[in-house]
Amino acid sequence: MENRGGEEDLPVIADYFEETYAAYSGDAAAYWETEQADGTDVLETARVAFIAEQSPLDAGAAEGGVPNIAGIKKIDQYTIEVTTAGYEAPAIYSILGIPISPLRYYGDPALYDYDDNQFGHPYGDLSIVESKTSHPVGAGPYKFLSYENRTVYYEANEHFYKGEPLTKYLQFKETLNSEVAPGVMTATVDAGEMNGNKSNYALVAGYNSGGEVTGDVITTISVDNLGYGYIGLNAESVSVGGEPFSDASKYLRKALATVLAVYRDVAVDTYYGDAANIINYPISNTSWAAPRTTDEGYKLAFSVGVDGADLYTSDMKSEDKYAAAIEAARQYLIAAGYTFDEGTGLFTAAPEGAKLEYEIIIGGAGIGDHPSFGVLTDASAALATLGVTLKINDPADTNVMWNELDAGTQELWCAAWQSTIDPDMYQIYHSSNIVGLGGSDSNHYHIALPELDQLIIDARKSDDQAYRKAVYKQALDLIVDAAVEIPVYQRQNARLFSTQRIDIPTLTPDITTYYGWGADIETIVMSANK
Amino acid sequence: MWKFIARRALLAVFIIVFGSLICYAVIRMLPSSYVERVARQRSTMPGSPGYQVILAQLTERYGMDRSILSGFGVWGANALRGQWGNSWFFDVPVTRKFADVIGYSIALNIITLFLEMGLCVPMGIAAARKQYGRTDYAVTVIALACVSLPVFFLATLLKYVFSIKLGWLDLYGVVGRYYQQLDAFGKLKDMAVHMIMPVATLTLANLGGLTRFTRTNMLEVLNADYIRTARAKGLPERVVISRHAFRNTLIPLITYMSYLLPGLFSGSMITETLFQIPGIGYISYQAMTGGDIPFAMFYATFLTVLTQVSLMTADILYAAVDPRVRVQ
Repeated sequence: MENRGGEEDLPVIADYFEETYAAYSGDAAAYWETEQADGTDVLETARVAFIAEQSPLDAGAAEGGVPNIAGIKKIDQYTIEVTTAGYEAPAIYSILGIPISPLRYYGDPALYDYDDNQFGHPYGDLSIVESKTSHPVGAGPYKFLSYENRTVYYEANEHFYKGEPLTKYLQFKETLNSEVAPGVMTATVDAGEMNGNKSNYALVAGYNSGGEVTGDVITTISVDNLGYGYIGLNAESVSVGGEPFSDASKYLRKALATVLAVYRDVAVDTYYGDAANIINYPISNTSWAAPRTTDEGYKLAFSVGVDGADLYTSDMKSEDKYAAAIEAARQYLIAAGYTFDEGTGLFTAAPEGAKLEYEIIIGGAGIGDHPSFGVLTDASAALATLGVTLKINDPADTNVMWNELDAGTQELWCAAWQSTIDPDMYQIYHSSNIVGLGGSDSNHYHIALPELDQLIIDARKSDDQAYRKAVYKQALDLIVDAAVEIPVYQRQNARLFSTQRIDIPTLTPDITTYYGWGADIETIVMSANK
Repeated sequence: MWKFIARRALLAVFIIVFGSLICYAVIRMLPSSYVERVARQRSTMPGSPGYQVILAQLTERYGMDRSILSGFGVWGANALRGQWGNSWFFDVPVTRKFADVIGYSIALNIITLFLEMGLCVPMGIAAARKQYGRTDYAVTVIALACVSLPVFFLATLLKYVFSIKLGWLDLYGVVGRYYQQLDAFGKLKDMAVHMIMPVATLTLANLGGLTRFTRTNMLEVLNADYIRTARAKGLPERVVISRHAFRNTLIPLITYMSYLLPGLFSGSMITETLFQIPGIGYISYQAMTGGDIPFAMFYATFLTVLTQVSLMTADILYAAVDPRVRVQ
C-alpha cells in the first residue's frame, strides 16, 4: 500500500499480485496452473486488474480513467514525443524497443481522433487490440503465412510503409550453424549467417573459384559481433588476506592476468585467424565508448610491471614477450607476499588467504573447443615454471561453469558478453549486482569499488557522448587496474549471400553491427527476377 | 494361454512403473535443469530481480522443490488421469508436440523398413545358398562395410556426393523452396525427394545387421535334416527354400522384428539431426537435454509401453508360428 499525496492509503500493483496468490492458499502449483501463467502473464493479469479497478478511484485521474498520457504527444504523422521521469541513457533503447505498427493493424481508423482522445478503439475497450495479440500483426515488410517443416513462410506485405517488397516470398529455414555455408552453396538456402572463424571462412573461400570469401558463388559481408570474449577473475576468491581490493590482492590477480594476456595473440589467431582481433579494454570494439588505439593513454592490457614500467617494446619477439611476462608475474607475486625460493626458482608458499593453485573453468565442451583454450594451456605451462598451478577445468556441460558463477564460488573463468547498444556498465560492474546481493547477479567479478560505482551512475545520467566516453574510459581503467577481467577477443559475424541467386547490388549497401541486412529487405531482388 | 498373458501383463506394468521412475530420477539428476537455464536467461534481462530470486520462483512454479519420489508421485498421478501437461521446452501440450512430429519419423522408418526387408532378406538367403561362393563373399563384404560405417559418416558422405558435388538433392530439410506453391501431388513428390538421402542412410546403416542375421539363420536351417529330406524327395530348390527353409527362419526374425514397433516411434536421432528432419528422435533429444520433464517423461513412458506391448506380441506370435512352442 502507498500513500498518494496525503490521501488515504491505496493499493499498489503488488497487492493485486499477493491477493491473487493468496486465493490459492499459497499453493503455488495450483496458482500457476489455474492462472496459466509464466511470470509475465501473472504480472500482466495483476496489471490489468490494477488499472481497471484503481485507475477510476485515483483522485489524479479523470472520471472513469485517464483520457491520455501527458508524457506522450503526437508531433506529426511520423513523430511522437515521449517525456520520461528523469534521464537515464539506456532508457531510450527500452522505449525504442517497442514495435511500432500503423493504426490499421491494431485498431479501427474510423475511431481515431487525436484531439478528442480517440486512439483507434472505443474508450476503455481494448478488445480490438486483444483480439490480435495472439496473431502476428503483419505490419512489417513481410506477412507471416505459416510455420511448418522447420520453415517459416512469409509473403510480401503490400501495405508496408516503405513499399511492397520486390521479392514476393520469403522463408526462414532452421539450419545448423555448420551447414549455413554449404546450404548457400548448394542452393538449399540463398542467404545465411554464421560465426566468422578460420575454418568457416576457409570453407566459404573453397566454394568460390577465386579462393576468396567473396566470389562467384558466395558473397560474404563480415561485421563485428556486438559482444566480446574475456577471462574473468573473481576478486573475492582470488585475493590475499580476505581483502579483494588491497594492493596485494591486485598484485596476485595481475600476476595471473599478465601471463594470460601475453598468450592471447597466438591462441586467438589460431582459432579465428583474421576473423577476430585482440582487445585491450573490457568493452566491445563496436561501441562508441570503446577506447581506440589512437586515444591518449591507450595501453595493451596487462602490459606494465609492478614498478609501472612497460613490459614490452614494439620490436620484441614473441619469446621475449613471454619471458618478460613470466618475470613480471614473479615480481607481482613477490609483491603480493608469496615466498620465492631463489635456489629452485619456484614459489614455495602463498600468503594468508591466497593459494599456489587456482582453477580456471572454460566451456570448451570437454574437448577444448573454445577460442581462449590455447591461452590457458600456454599460461598454465608458463606459470608452472614459477611453481604456480593454473588448473584448467573444461567440463563437457557448460552449465557446470554457470552454476559455479551463479553460486559465486568460481576463481577464474572464460566467457563472452553479449553487449547492448548503450555502453552502460551498471548491470555488470556496479557493486549492487554482485551475485547474491539481490541485484541482477551479473557482477560475476565481485568488483565493488565506490569510485567505479559513482562513475557508472554519472555516465548513465548524461546525454553528452564525449563526457560519457571520458567517464567510461576512467571506469575501464579502474576495472583493468582491479585485474578482474582480461579482455581477449572481438570476433566477427559473417553474412553469406548467394552471388548467383541474389542480385547483390540490391542488398543494403552498408551493413553494420547495428544496421543489419534485413533493414532494407524490401529492396532485395532475386537474380532470376531481374 | 490367458494365464500367461495376465502374468506377462503384470510384469509389463511393473517394468513400466519402475522404468518411468528411473527416467524421472535421471532427468532430475542432470547437472543443469530447465529452470536454471530459464532463470539464467531471464536474469540477464534489464531490470531483472536477479538469478537467485528468479530461480527460487521458477523452482516452486515447476515443482522442482519436491523430492524425486514426491515429484514422480505427482507426475504419475497426473499421467494416470491422462494429464501429461505442457512441454516446458516447446511451450505446447506434450501430446500435441508429439503428434506434430511423429509422422516424420514413422514415414522415414516405414520406408526404411520395407527397403531393408526387400534388400536384406533376399541378400541373406542368396548368401546362405551360395555359402563361400562369390555371392556370399560379395554380400558379406557389403554387409560388413555397412555395419562398419557410422551413421554420421554415411550421411555426410551422401550429402557431400549428392548435394555438394552433384547438386542433385537439397543438403537438408524435408521440403524444398517451392513447397508452398506446389499442388498436393507436387508436395508429396517434393517430400519424397527430400527423404531419399535420410532413407538411404538408415537403410545402408541397418543393411549389414539384418542381412547377416538372415544368412546365419538360413544356414542353420539349410543344414537341418528335414531340408536334406525335402531335397532327397526331389522337391525343386525353389520350394525347398521358400516353403521349408524360409518359414523356419521366421522365429528368430520375429524376435528381431519385435523391436521394430518401438523403433518406429523412437525415431533416428542422428539421421534426423544431420538432415534436419523435425522427427521424434531430434525433438526428444532437444527435450531431454533441455530438461523438459513433461515431454521427456511422456515420451519415455510411451516407448516403455510400446516395447512391452511388442515383446508380449512376439511371445504370443512364437506360439502361432511354431506349434512346438508350448506356453505353460
